[in-house]
Amino acid sequence: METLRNKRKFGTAELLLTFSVLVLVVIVAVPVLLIIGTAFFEEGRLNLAAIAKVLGDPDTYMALWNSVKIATGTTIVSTAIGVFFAWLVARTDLPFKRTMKALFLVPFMLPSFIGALAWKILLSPRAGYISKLLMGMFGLEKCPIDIMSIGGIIMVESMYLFPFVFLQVAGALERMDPTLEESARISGARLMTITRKITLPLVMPSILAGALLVALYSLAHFGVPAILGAEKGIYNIPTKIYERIHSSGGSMAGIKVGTILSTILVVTAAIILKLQDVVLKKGQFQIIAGKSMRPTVLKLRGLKVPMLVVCIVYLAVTVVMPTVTIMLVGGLKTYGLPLALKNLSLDNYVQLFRMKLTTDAIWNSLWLSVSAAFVTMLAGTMISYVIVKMKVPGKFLLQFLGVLPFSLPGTVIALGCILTWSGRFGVNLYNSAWIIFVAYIARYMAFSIKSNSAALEQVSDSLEEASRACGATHFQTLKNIVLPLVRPGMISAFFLIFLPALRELTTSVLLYGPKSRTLGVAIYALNEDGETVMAAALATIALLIIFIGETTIRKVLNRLQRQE
Amino acid sequence: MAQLALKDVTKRFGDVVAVNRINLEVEKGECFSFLGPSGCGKTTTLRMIAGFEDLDEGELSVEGKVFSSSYTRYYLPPEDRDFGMVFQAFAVWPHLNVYRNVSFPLEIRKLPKREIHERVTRALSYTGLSSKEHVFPKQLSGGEQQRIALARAIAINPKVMLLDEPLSNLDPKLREEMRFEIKDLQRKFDLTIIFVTHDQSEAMALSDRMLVMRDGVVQQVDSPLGIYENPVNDFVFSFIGLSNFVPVDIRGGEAFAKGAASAGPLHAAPEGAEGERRLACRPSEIDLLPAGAAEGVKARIERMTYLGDMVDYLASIGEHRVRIQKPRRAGSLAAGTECRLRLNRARWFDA
Amino acid sequence: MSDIRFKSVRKAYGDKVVLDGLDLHIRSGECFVLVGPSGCGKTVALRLIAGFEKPDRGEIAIGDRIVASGKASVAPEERRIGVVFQDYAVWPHKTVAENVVYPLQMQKVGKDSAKTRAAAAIDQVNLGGYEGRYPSQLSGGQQQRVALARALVAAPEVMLLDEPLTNLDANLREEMRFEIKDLQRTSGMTILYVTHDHEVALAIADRIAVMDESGSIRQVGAPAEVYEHPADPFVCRFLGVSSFLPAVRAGGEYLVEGTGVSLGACQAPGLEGAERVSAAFRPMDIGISRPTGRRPANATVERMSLLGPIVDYLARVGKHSVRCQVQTEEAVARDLLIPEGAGCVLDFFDAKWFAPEAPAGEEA
Repeated sequence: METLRNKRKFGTAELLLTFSVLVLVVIVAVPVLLIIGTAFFEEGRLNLAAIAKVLGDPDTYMALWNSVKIATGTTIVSTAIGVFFAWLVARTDLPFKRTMKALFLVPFMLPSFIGALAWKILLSPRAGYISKLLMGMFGLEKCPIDIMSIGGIIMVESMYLFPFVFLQVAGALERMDPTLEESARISGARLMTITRKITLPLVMPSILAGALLVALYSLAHFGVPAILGAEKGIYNIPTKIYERIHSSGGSMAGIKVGTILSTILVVTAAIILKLQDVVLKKGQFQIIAGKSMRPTVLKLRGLKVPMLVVCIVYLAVTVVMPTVTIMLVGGLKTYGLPLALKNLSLDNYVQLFRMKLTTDAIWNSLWLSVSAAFVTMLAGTMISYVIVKMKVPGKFLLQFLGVLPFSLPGTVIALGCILTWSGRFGVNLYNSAWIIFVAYIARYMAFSIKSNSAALEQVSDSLEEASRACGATHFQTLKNIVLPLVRPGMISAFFLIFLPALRELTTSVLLYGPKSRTLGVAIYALNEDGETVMAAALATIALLIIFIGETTIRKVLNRLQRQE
Repeated sequence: MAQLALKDVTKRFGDVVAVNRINLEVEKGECFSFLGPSGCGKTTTLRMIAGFEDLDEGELSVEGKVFSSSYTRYYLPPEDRDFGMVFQAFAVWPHLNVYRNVSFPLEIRKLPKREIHERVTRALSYTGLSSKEHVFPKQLSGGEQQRIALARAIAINPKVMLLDEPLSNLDPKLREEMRFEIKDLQRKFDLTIIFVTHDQSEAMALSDRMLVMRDGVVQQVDSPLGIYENPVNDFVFSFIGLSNFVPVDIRGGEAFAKGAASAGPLHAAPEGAEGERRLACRPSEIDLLPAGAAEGVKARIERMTYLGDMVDYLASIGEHRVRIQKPRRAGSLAAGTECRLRLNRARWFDA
Repeated sequence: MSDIRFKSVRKAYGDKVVLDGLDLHIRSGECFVLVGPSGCGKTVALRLIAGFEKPDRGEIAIGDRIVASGKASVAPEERRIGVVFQDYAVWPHKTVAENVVYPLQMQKVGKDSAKTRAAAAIDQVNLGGYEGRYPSQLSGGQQQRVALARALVAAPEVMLLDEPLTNLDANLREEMRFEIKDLQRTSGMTILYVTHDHEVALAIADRIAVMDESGSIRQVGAPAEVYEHPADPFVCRFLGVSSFLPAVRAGGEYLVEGTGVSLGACQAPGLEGAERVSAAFRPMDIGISRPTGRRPANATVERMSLLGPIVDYLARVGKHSVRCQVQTEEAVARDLLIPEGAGCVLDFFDAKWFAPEAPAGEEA
């Protein structure tokens, strides 16, 4: 018999592990540690006095309070809208259900800061088109609706965030095992009782999960409060961080305040995520049906048409009206002119393409989103493989670092990148587009890991083992079996990153340099400078790019799906 | 008066006739099974009885009272039928504990608290769940979850109890155990049961009577033994258990396996029969005789498989293959042995 | 050809010891079935041979190659084995032909020769004509045939099958177990087949090993040997329905506790002359008949159920219940459809004798 010698070598597995750890440490761990370090320490010593001072400042205190108010309000309103429409689409005989379901996801496409811009144009207290109309009609001195308030911010954010709840709840309602309700029916319960005692409790975890997502998003959201609030002195934490860093000209003092506020954001976000985890773990019921059957559907009878009208009007007001407004205003000769054909031209667009600022912005956003999406997709696939499939010591650390970016608001990531990449480690990317590139990777890594992990979990271990038993090495198995099988997950990761990156504002607004404005930043800057018309024109172009992007992607994905 | 009566009940989905003119009467206290392959219409029939589907034609009545009728366009919704139902996927409510799952239908009926408590306690004790009152379904095994569903259905004293493949999601051992439990419950509570299944041994073990269905049409209604012994056609014969079909030529009152006349006659032909037929018999209806025996058809053992109490053979008669199963105690023949087969029973179908 | 040897193999996951000191020899060219309750470690044993797991201690050899010894281990791809999994594990992005030819590509077999060999393997599992299909276009049984062909194609000396039939329906399961047996006969491979289904085990095995929950092997032997002469009550219960009756000695024979019903004489070694024993019976080793004037009832029918080809009885002898079975034809011919509650006569054959069990055993 031959004897067996133990060949210890640096194989494929070790290589993957090393690279994964390296990426996550550089991209995630170092920036976060630096933020916390800067917040708590000064010249190597714990400095709680500075923290107390920042927190004691009524200015920051107000920002905190506003954040809580906006997040709470937005969550409540979004949840109410989301649950209502989800129920309508999934559980009633509403006409054109499939189309309506698709249409309710359109608000996801619309960048919320562009929405905010449109609503400001329509409803700002004095100059808004609708405000003027209302004042004229009723002979009022002041418009009854002031969009530039906390209430306005809540309203606009809810319009564009409710799909989070809608998606979760509609999914749960559709996939729910219909026999759970049928058995209640045969038990003698009528529809109202079933809805109250069976259906609602069963989808409650999905409602809460969607609501917490909205809360998380709203808390870290920059665009809407920046456009609607900042002018009136209404700040939330992200806009306050921006304001402090901006007003101090990017000095260390401003950054220091930013890190302390960031720490608060991260902690709050972590609490929300933990809550979500608890809700999902404790309350997630196994309600998914094995075989698909049609669920019991409520007959709307006389309410059929009125309900359809409600849906259409809602979409017209929240999606069509703002989009059209942006497009029309973008064509106006001067801001404030009535929206009449004679006042419209294409001159603004021509001018936009002559401006270096805007062409740079379009180009920057395009290449940044494509390249960041591509790199993040690849790195995410590798890290997910290590997390999901490999049995290695120290994996828990990877898992932790992999999900950490979920709880990192874009503002925080931007700050972390400033601290990490401004020469501290010998690399200075400040003021170049590369710092935005690195920040996007950190910001969207969680998307990539989530999408790839889901795809990898579908790949049963035995598929890999079968390949090894056939004589394929680990590397051959990855190439021949694993990669082709997770390709759909990788592609969806790419688009999950590419689209939000294209219209990103929160992170890039803190990181842009003279030549590295993104589309979002350019629109925001034009608006700040009072160039409302030009901002609207650029927003129109952004919407066009997003629209083209979305439709091509949907086509590509559909074709891929048909191939599978 | 029948507990449950179906008259010309028909259901169409578009152009497909899912259930074609079923006529049926089920007596009080009877356990009645619907047996058939998937897609044969048995579940649709059950759902029409429950009221989840309306019927396109015919009439359905319970205790003489019409529940659905295409003639009078009457339809009583499921919640008013006073039925109990158990589903394949259990359908116990995950957010309610065992006690609340069972008490829910009683609370809906607004029964007095004391009575609810009594009925729930009784139903739980009969299903062996007394100690699990406050446990949530997630913490229970599949078998226990199905017991909750049973208790929930029993607690309301249903007029008819409907079971839709209730054992299919359980493992084989538990499945065997639970079918005896269901039978016991039926006796204790004098339940009228409609049991839908695709498993013939389940249907046979449980039912007083059963029907076999195919493509929406009822093939046969009889007692389990009646169906096993006297199937009306080859479909019922083959669906109800392992079966052998041998094409035969009939000459001079004897049936010869096609192309293997030299092996000798298989069986005496039915009176007056001539020409080509198909002979059917069960693996257990064939006896193995030594090659030198004076009777039986010449055959060869191709495969012998030890199954524990039974031994399974594949034997060839010419180019025809038949399965034979005999108790281990009867002794066994090895593969390759020449022998003779005696068919103790034959059923005849058209070629 | 290759045999497989386990020498004092230990495997633990954290604190949970799955296999401890496992010694096992699977002979070259035999179909060896490792059978045991779920979670007993039988799959772990298979995965140790495949190389998907490494033993903590001990040695595993395939033929004259040691593939795992202590911490050192040969990678799965270098072990030259075929594996078939419970979930088929056919690659959904490859056609039937691509799935089957893959092992040959990995072994750098020439293109033409690989093609011919793959086609032969596909024919062998009766999938000719399906070469261009994707797994999603195949039924469960066909997918498992693809997996079989893929495992066969490189002509491995050892084939490992991990519950390959569990996900198939009853009819297909029966059909496929005959096919697997035929493949083994024609190829002469050494097969290790792991399952919890005792029926499959009895039907397919040359030898069976029965493993208990703690991962130790209770008995190894030919199917008839372990079924008819189980080493202990665990093996007896695991291999099929069995009724256990406590019995007391009365002269040269044993009687069912509390009754005058005789179970015959006990020849089991180690139990000679014991006052109390436990006797186990297979359902068909208990004969049932109607009482006659000469032979009055010695038991009562508690339940009779028709299970198709078999009639199953639960009968009460004294305080104990036993299961017995008769073929339906015989039951009809001999008028054995005895109503529940009526008396019957039971005859006991071929008792399996064990030391008395603590609680009075009923049916398994």
